[in-house]
Amino acid sequence: MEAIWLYQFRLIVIGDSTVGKSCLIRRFTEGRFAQVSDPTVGVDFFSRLVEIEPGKRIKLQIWDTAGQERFRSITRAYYRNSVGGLLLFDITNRRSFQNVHEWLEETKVHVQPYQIVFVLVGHKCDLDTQRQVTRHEAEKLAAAYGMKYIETSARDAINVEKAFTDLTRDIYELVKRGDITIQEGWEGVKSGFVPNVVHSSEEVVKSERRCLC
Amino acid sequence: MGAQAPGCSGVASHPGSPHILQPVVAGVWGTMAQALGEDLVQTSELQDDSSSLGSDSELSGPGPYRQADRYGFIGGSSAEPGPGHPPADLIRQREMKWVEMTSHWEKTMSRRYKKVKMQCRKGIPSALRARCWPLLCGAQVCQKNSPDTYKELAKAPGDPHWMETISRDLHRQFPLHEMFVSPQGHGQQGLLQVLKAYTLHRPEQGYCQAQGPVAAVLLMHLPPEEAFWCLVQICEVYLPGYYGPHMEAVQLDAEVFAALLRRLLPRVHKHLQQVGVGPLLYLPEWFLCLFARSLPFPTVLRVWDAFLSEGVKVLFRVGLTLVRLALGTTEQRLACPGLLETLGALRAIPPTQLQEEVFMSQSGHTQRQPPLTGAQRGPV
Repeated sequence: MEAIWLYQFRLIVIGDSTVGKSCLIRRFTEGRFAQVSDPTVGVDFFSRLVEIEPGKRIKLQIWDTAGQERFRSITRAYYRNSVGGLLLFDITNRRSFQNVHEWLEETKVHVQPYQIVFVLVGHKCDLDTQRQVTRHEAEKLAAAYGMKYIETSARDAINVEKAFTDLTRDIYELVKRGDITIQEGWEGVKSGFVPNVVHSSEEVVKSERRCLC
Repeated sequence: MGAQAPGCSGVASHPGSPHILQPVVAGVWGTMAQALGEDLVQTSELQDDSSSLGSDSELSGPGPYRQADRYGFIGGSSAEPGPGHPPADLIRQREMKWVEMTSHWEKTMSRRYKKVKMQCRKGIPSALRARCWPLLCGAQVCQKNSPDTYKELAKAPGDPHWMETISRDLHRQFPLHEMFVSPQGHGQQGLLQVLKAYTLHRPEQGYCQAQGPVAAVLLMHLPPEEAFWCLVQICEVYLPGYYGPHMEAVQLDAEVFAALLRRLLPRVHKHLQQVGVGPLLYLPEWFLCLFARSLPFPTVLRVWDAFLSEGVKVLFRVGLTLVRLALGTTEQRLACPGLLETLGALRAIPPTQLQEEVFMSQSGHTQRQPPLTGAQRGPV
């Protein structure tokens, strides 16, 4: 039987080729690190449940995308139906950091009229000796775009859980506050099975019976 | 020897693939519906695949845990010939047929193309793939017409941008194949040379990451120069517009695929629509990599044999067959209430159904087993 979840969020993972998108997702959804990962051709799809508060679970649908520029004509169709995104760069590859701006522009154009809550992820932080991007400048860039910044390593399982769950929590707060709403024809957020709903409908049935008496 | 194709830019003179030169949409529409149920050659034979691909191993002293199977995959499952492997005399007979056909190829293609097509569907004997693939796709003519081109491209320095992009992918193509294990091995080096040569040959096209697996499979069978010209033919004649900067043709073919699904497998199409699985979610990897990463390797080779003789419609047949095998019955669709389950089902077809002979008959390329009737198969 399917686990009960409060909401389903659709997340998209983007960033330059070889920054480690597929490895990060696999670490998060499968708990293992693949030394070698085929280049993603098109889009790939994963899912996992996260518990953001005791008893409150969110189902994440995670879309992995090809990083090479020419695949954007295929992957951009999936931005629109995402509520959240992890924008990855590789801390050992300066160009992937310089392209962050371009990725944000690209999504902004194609996500209208919706918005994506992004987190900026500096990946491969286990390779600190080869670092080409300082934490400070990444934090500064993230702040300029109103994003959080986190450094992760799929190889050493550093901050992988945190990157996804923090983003999930932030989106959950926005949904709770009504800043993000469930909309017909939009896949970003969907409501799931909620135990409370079952209870309340039972109560309704009871009260009706009482009326009949 | 050699086909008549005068050039390699691939306009309308390639006798090996009379269908693939029609406009994609019209050609596919016209032939596909009929091709799915087309009655083809009766064959009770199985093909030979006993040659030693990748025999020049990169590995020093292969221990039992690094043993490669007969396709060169380390730890692969194709160590022994599969069930129903053809007897040696049948293999020999097929090889003789191909030797005869290729000894006067131009004549064979102009007068007996149907026979070539049928033999390709049965599978090219593995000892002869290296000879037949360049003939079938016209690569050999290109090479003959431009004997110095590849050598010059191989010598020339590559564009630094493309060199970096290609280099980042080299170790990620078939990392479990013995030829591609070592960065200094001839697999990865050949890949670099061939892909670099393509970006120099067609700078306006550049390198597409999906070309990697295609070039790798070619290099498992051919020397770099032959592999290069086959890649050129595939990218320019067979699948023009698939790998270029905008990848528009593969998206167009995804639309065509959806239209074919609606017509041929209407219930499956309806299900896919309901759960939100559009063809762009699964088709690009299938078509761009010519199924190299989606089917068991012996089946990949059989699909390529047919593809190189018949063109893109083979990809459509194979794709439609995969969708039907995964979601063809009501029970299968009921087990896939959502997008995730549906995409999962497309990747979890039992290997027995993907076994080369079974699959080639399922996809209408051979008729080893009588096709299931509608009643047996259940509504689709």
